[in-house]
Amino acid sequence: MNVNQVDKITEPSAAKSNQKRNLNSTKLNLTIKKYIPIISFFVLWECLTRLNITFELVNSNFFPPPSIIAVQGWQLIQTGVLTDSIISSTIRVFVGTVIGILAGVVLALIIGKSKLIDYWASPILNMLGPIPSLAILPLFIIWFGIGEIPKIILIAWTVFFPVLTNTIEGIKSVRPVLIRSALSLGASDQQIYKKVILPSVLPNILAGCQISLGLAFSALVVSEMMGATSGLGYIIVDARNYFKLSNMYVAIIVIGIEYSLFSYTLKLVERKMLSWRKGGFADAIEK
Amino acid sequence: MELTLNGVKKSYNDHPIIKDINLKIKTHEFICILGHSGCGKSTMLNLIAGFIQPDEGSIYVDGQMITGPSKERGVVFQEHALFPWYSVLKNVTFGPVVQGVDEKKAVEIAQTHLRKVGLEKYANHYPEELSGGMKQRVGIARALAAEPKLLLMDEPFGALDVFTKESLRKELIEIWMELKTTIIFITHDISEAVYLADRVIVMKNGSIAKDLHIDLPRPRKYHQERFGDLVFELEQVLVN
Ligand SMILES: Nc1ncnc2c1ncn2[C@@H]1O[C@H](COP(=O)(O)OP(=O)(O)OP(=O)(O)O)[C@@H](O)[C@H]1O
Ligand SMILES: [Mg+2]
Repeated sequence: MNVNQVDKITEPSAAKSNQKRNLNSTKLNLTIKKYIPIISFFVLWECLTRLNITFELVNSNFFPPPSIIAVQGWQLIQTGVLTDSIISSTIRVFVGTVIGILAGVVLALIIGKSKLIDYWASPILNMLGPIPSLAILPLFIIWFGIGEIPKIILIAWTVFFPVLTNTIEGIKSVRPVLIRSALSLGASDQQIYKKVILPSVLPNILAGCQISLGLAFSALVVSEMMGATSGLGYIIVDARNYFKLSNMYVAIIVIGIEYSLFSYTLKLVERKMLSWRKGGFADAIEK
Repeated sequence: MELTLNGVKKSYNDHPIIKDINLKIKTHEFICILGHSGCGKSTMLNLIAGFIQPDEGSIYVDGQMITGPSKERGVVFQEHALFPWYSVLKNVTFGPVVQGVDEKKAVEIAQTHLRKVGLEKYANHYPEELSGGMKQRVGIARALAAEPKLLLMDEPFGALDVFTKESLRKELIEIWMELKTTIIFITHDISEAVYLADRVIVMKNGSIAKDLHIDLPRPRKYHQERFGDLVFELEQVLVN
């Protein structure tokens, strides 16, 4: 009787902990599974390039193995070149992007508010928007020299248009009934902008930022290739000039990683700021 | 608050929707506007709220001509219009906060009104997490928290089931008795109108077809003989 009882108690709990272990191991499996393609990619790259070095099928300088690239990267870090470049590139892309976003959002809000400014600004912006910003870079360099300013302006310019158009689109689709509610509750125009229009438009602004980010990185690299003395784009051009291809690979990989980090951070911000969009029905029937 | 409509007309695309409406509403009256779908009820409410302007005629509140929306005229919309990015509590504090009441007092006011509609437990939920009936209640609490003198309600219970409707009607009457707000309540449900209103105004094709005083004592019962008579009388107006 007693034994039976013990059995009855332990059995389900044992099953539960088993289940838990299973869950944990499947979770681990999933994490590993996620990286299998990437790891395989580098392993295969390593094998093929090593074979190429042994048999010298094509010029092995063109295709260094990842291990050599890693060593090269480590050396670049130790000389300080890579760290300096990462810092200056990050500052440029960050400052340029922030300026671009602010300018885009502010101008969109102004255009949304004033018919007169909409009348004057919209056609001109529609004319300038489609011009690929990289085509204007040489002009910027002539106007502003080769310092930081043309690079930051270029990045800001690139970011500005997608954010502007997305925000304007968002402002146009704010539910009128929400603005009406706010007015009937006694809100002033300024309060409506802050408490109704801006939160309504936030998803559009963030979508604009996601689109802009890729463009911002292209603008960064190209502007650093044309007239710069530091930065990841500069490493690429410098590596081409001195035929140090592994440096080039280092820079390319670092740019990829940095872009992923920026994009990931933006996703986190998005998830945090738009948490109200989640939640779902489950809570409504909680008692 | 006294509301006067003087020869109000409104057309959309040369289509007259509101045709020469004259109406006087006294303080603390509970008015129901009854009419078929599409007869211009929401248009009339939008005019009184100040969201749209009459083509001809004018609307006065306590002798003052209205030119736009105001916190004196609260609105509960036909479809729910809560701010989805704010919690239930922040939706209800919206009115007091934008009117300059300090945060703590605003929360107190909001909690009082949420209690009135039985949702104080849901203060920290987001609108998306509520059922349709609960959203409408929050909408009512939000409008009341701004302390309007006139409450405009556009078929607020239209999309709800019979039982929810029934309890919300009772709650609304209690709130109205307590706060002494003037209420204009739009509906296409005849017995709802007779149950709620001091005065039922029947709209047909953009004009007032009937202005009927409901002289039943409260609380009203649907199965009273007089109740049935009044419903029948209004039915005749709507059908003919
Ligand atoms: N903004 C608008 N533009 C053009 N026509 C409109 C507009 N608003 C309303 N109407 C027209 O006015 C008429 C009355 O609309 P309204 O919304 O006032 O009806 P309602 O009585 O509230 O109907 P329901 O009971 O279905 O809500 C309809 O024929 C509608 O098409
Ligand atoms: Mg309507």
